[in-house]
Amino acid sequence: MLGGGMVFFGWRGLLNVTLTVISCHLTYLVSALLLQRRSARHEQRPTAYGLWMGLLMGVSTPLTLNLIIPIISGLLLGLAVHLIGRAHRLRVHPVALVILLVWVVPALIYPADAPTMRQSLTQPIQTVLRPGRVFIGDAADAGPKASWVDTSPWLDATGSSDSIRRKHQQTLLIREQRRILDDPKLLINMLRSGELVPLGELICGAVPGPIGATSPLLLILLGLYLMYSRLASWRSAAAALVGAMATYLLLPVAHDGDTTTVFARLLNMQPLAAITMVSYVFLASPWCLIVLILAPSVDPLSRNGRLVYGLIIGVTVMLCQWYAATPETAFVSLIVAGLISRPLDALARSPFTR
Amino acid sequence: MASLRGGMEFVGGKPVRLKPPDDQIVSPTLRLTSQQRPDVVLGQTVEAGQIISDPVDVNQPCRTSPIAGTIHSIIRRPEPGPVPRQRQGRAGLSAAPSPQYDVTILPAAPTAASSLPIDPPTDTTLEAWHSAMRNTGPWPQAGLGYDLVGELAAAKKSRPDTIICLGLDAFPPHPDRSSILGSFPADAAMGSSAMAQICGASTVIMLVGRNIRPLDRLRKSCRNFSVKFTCVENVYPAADPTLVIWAHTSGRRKLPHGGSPMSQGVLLISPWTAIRIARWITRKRLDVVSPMLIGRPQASATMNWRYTFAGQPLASLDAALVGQAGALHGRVVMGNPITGQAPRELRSEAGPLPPVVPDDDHLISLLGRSTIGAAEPCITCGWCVDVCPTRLRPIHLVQLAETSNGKKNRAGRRLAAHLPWCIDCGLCTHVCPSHLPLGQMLRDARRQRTADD
Repeated sequence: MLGGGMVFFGWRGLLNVTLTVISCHLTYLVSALLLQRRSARHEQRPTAYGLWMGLLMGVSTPLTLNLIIPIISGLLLGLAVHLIGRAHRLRVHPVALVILLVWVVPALIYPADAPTMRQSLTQPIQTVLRPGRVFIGDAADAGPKASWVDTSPWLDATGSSDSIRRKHQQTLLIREQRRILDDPKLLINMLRSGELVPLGELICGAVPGPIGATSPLLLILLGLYLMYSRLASWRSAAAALVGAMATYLLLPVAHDGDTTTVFARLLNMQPLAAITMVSYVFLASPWCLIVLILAPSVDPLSRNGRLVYGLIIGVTVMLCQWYAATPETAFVSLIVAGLISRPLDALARSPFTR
Repeated sequence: MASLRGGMEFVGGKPVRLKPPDDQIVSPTLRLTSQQRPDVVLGQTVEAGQIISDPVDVNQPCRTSPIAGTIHSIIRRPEPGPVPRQRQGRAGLSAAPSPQYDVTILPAAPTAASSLPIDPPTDTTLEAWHSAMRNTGPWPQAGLGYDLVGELAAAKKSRPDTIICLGLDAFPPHPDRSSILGSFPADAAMGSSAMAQICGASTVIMLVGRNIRPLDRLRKSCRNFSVKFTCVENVYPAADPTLVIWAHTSGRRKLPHGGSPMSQGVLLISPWTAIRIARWITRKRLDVVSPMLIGRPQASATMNWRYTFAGQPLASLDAALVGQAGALHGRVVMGNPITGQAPRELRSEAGPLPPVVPDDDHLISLLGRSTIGAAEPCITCGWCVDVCPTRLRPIHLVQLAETSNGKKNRAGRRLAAHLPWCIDCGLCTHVCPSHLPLGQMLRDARRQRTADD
């Protein structure tokens, strides 16, 4: 994931991740020491735990100009891992909680204009490196055209600056999804104008977003590997997919003054357009990161519990994507599902104790 | 097993073919264990088959000497010995530790008869057979943890409706029961049928794994003796009594770990018990030796076997078992490698004695080298939950045990409700990627509960 992030965000991406890792690890070590002195029963984790959690945090958050953001994120995470997480009773993912605290909660100061607040507080960088400047370029250097959105295909992007500015696809989709379903021609226009990047580029990750998680392809491959090595459960992922799909199709959308369902609107679209729309809904969202990478570490232990857990995550991600203003709000799904993760294990009952 | 998943598939070992025991077998010095003060004295000459210990409790078997010889020593263990695996329940065996005596017998001759000219009871009543078996005891059920005499005593009060001859190997790579069963198929079927007649049971089941050879011969023998032949895939720990009774009897009967199968109306017998009964009936001679198989850690290695007297030195079985107690420590277990325990003598704090052949197991496992990683925090992978054959959540039970800390609080009560169904198969420890000794921790929790009760 970090390698993928280096391709499109270069040394700035590495800087952000490094600051997060250092901040998280130092906080983790110091707080572990203090907790150990306070209580001898405090559970000791491997020293590298803070490193790995910091790395996960770093690759899951967008690239920012404001370097305080990764430092604060790391700090909060280094404290949170002692209280919540896979080995605790409160099996809430600490990365999800910190993302919400840093990226969503401050923006709620002005809920009517949460995207603008998010922009001004965290200063996410809305650029990706040109093909010729991958790994080494400065993602913040978009040259004189910094304010212009480059809608040409990524491989055709030329110019002297290191990076090109692109629209944040997750935010764009959240803002325009209702209008697209109301008027399907909008989808075609956005694709033609380059406002919505081609699906191939979206899958590869040539878009602004989480440093190491812009490529759904990489996330899916990593998720499949986790399932193959039995560190993640395919049941959770399958249930999340089913839950997300079912929820999305039943969401209400206005059309011609009436309220109908997304499913009805998709039926009215050209089949290819409908498939493209649904593809963007899943790929231009944090769904892959949440379901395939973060969710498995705080899931219940039992098979039935994992099914329900996946279902809850899928449903909640879709609801957040539909009703919330920022893509990071989707991480609420991990909080909600994590809170009941442990009680869901009660679904696995031995026939001997019934 | 309809609603139970889990377990682990092992590559089954190849059963060996045992020949009947020779009439005369080399007889080394024996060291027998008596659960109470023996009725013999130092220097006394004993005959083969003579009772050396007759318990006050008539439901307990006598301890007899299998060979003729001289009592060389009688040693009371300085403290109560480790509690042998005993079954509780209506069979009435006590779980409380009791003083034990080691009786050493010097043989009168270099060889001794492998069987004694004792006639089986002509009366087919349960009372007659219980009395006869008691006086020729003990009749340990290898790997099942209880003596047949105690179970027959319980059967006198409440007859079992099902007899199961448990031919499933406790550990598939070491097919001890399959080997014994496959070597004497007709005797096994006959003995099972005879036991059913004695107890008045309506159902007799011969439960075997698919690796048994020759399968058809055993199936035919079972048909001849009206024994229900059941062949199943042996997914470890399918041979555990709790799972056997759950899966192969009517009504989903629940036998807690350590409980007596008689409490569920089932009599479980080992293959050698059935064979021994049949050979007693047909030959009018009672075998006093039993087969002992030695399993090696290499997957391709064939088991060694020989007939032994209970109490003979372990070193007399195999060159790999020769050595001081310290050298053997960690290299050999009685039973299978997963649930087996080190020989009693190697666990004793009273000073290492040379380990001897036990009378309650047919399998000795030589262990290979293993590296045990240091325990790390749980990563909630759920593998222990997936693999548990009784669908418990081992990691949560361990957490309950730590929370309850032996007290009868809410955590303690929840633990008490689940712990009897942990069958001590060891799979949770085996699969844990964090190297948590879950099985051992649950065993400790159970031991603490038993001590508190």
